[in-house]
Amino acid sequence: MIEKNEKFENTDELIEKIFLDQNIESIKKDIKIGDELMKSRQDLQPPAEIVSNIKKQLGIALAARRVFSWNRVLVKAAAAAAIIILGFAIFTYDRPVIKKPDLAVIETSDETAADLLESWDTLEHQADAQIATLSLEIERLASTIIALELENANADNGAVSGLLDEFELELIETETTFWKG
Amino acid sequence: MRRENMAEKKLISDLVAGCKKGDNECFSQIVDLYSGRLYNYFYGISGNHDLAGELLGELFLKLVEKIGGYRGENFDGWLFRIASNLFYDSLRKKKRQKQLLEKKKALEMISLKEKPKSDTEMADKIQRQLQKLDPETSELLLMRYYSGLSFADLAQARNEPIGTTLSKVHRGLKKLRELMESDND
Repeated sequence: MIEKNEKFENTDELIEKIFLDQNIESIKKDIKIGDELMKSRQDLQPPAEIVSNIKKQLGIALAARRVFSWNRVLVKAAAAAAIIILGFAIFTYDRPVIKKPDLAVIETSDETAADLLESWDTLEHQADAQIATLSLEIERLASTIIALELENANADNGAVSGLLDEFELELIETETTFWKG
Repeated sequence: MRRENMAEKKLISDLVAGCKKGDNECFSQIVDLYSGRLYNYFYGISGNHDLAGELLGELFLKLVEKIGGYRGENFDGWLFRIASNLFYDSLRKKKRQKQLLEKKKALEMISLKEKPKSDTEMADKIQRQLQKLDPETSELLLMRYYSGLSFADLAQARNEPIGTTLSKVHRGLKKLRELMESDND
């Protein structure tokens, strides 16, 4: 057993520092006599049975703590292993190649539907513009053919006839382009 | 003297390091080293051997829980602070204060009837007078005596200014002397 420490610091000096204007000598005396009284107090030893029981209880507590620590380590290890396996499975998973958009996804996704509608509108506008251009072209070619036929009727010569054939071919080509879209 | 103190500090430091690792033998040695002082401390403030033994057991179990939080401060001060908290907790939780007061009254009755004659009786008389002090004062005096802490360490352990601790010790010791003297009359 460690002996009770009787090597107190210099109490007199401390008293002088703390109790400035008071009756320092009286305080020193009170503490000195009090300390002597405390020293005369009979020291007891705890019953051996109590000490022995304490040591047994400590052994049980430490064993329980060790089991608890091991359980914690095992749980942590299992959690870490699960994360690694899951990560590996995700990393090595072969995703199927999607060739066509999933209609279910398109139907359930507002954003995708909006994008689709916007694309559709753009295509529609482009098609309308192309139709208008081709219609104008057809009308222009038709007018040219009529004019040339009239001229052909007035003066039938080979040069005009060749020009007419050329315009007819152009008209056919324009119409083909139109129907192809 | 200083070398002995250093060796003691080294021993405690090594034992604490072992306790932190969960070494049963180190805990066992700590029990051997401190059980006497702590038992006297608990008995001094409670005046009850059974309660002192119970608190001693609780304290060492607390030590197993708390040793991981020990950061290298004065070990005696740290241990006695746990002991002090444990004592006050037990007073609050188990409502033992009432029993202690009853015990104090009973002891006072005995002291009126009996006069000490031997050294042992003198020691018992001091114990009885300690019981007459308020629990905080007797706890402080016993903590100072059995922990061996300096006033500075004691004040730190109690989270109060050193002047406050010194004043309380002075008043407590003075009161104890007065009680002893009045009992002699």
